[in-house]
Amino acid sequence: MDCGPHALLVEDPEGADALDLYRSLLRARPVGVYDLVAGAHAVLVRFDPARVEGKALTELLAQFRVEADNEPRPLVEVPVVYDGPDLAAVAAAAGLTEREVAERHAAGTYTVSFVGRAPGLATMTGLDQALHVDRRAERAAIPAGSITINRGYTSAYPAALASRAHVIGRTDLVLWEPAATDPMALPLGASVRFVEVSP
Amino acid sequence: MIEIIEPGQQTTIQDLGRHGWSQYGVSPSGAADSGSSRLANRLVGNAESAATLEILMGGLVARFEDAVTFALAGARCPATLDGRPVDLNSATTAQAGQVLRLGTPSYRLRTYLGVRGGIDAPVTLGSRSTDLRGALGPEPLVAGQRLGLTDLAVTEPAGNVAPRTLPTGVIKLRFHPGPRIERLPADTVSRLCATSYTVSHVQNRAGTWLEGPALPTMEHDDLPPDPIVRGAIQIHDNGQPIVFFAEHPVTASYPVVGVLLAEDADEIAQTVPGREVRFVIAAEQGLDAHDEAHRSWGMLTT
Repeated sequence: MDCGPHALLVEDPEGADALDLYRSLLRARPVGVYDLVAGAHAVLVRFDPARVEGKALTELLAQFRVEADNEPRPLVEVPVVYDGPDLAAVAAAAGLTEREVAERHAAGTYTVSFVGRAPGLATMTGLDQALHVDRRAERAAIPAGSITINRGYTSAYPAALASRAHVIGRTDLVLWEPAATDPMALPLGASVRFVEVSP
Repeated sequence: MIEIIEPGQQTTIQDLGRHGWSQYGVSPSGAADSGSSRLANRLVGNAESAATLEILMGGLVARFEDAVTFALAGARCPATLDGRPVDLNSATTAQAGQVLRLGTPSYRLRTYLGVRGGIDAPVTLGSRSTDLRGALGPEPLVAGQRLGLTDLAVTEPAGNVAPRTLPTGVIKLRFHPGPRIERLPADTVSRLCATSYTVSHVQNRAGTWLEGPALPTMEHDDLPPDPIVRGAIQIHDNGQPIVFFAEHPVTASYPVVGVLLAEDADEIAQTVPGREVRFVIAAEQGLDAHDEAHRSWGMLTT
């Protein structure tokens, strides 16, 4: 799908995860492609029209096959205090107790599937089906460190931001540090576990 | 050094932006009207990538502590150097101690001040740009602040005027349709082009919100966020278009119906509330200078 004259938005025809498509494209490095951005289902491919024609690249990408990789993914543990203002609402919507929501959330292993909206804001898949709840009314800002649930995703907020997600807890882990060599604590593709800690 | 006596409504340091950091959620940022920032640099003999001042709605008062060549580009506003008028789109040499004063532009939003050598500021993730939404780079300028210069002059100052024509009447915004037309009713592109839109008062460095006849949208429970690009025209679920530029979010959920040509994305960033714009489908284009300038930062450059 054309995304302006010098970029394509690509989805895997066989429905592979956008993150797997992103990683496969990153390894394959098609000629003329100079930037890749992963979304939830699609990958943005920016290309240099002096090195490859959009039409030729579209054809090449239509034939592209995602290959699984066996590279180890970093595992990051995120300490969480489960005392968020929406814990009760999530529990009610899920038909669970607040304790069960915290335990189920902390039991999972998640993958950072895409990053967007704000620097350092990781959105993760792998959320327990029982915890999928719809968005709430928007808040003008939720605090930095908020751990949220929004539909099938869980997120960790690096800064105070407007949000329609449910806040179930908080972390004191520094999630975004632009001056650091690795600026993002939860980079794209990372495996994440939430570890419950006392307030 | 340059001393800021009055910063005006909002003056920020901008270059061509942060590229290759999308995977951390970082916007490209950079000058909202990239073409005018690049022009201001060319007039003083700088590399186009040097940092300039982006001055929203004029009002800047600054003292040049040393003799230096400068140029203004973008929104035309009354400008004087120690009381003598200074023209837009031409290079002028200030003597040490002279004071530049900008009035309020009547027609467009952002004026760019290029200074020979380029404005200095700490580099964050490869750029000196202020990203207000992402809280990266230097803070907006404040009175009393003093700015140093970099060494990004590459040729002699141009000196002569660089004429630029300004659009009059309804502003035409040329775009390439796609990529998410299938998430909108089939006639969306023709409806979008059939009527004009008014630039609303909701406008910042991320984008401009337009107002006009609401476009029909489709019911979606859960639109997965897609990566977007500068110039993306997104149809909000209230049926109104939003055009994104410098500080656009890396991913966004509403469907993107088209992408503006780079120079028209510059133009919408300059368009004042109340002006009328009309979308037109772009003819096939070759290379454009904006992408040319950005390509070298890509992470896959070999």
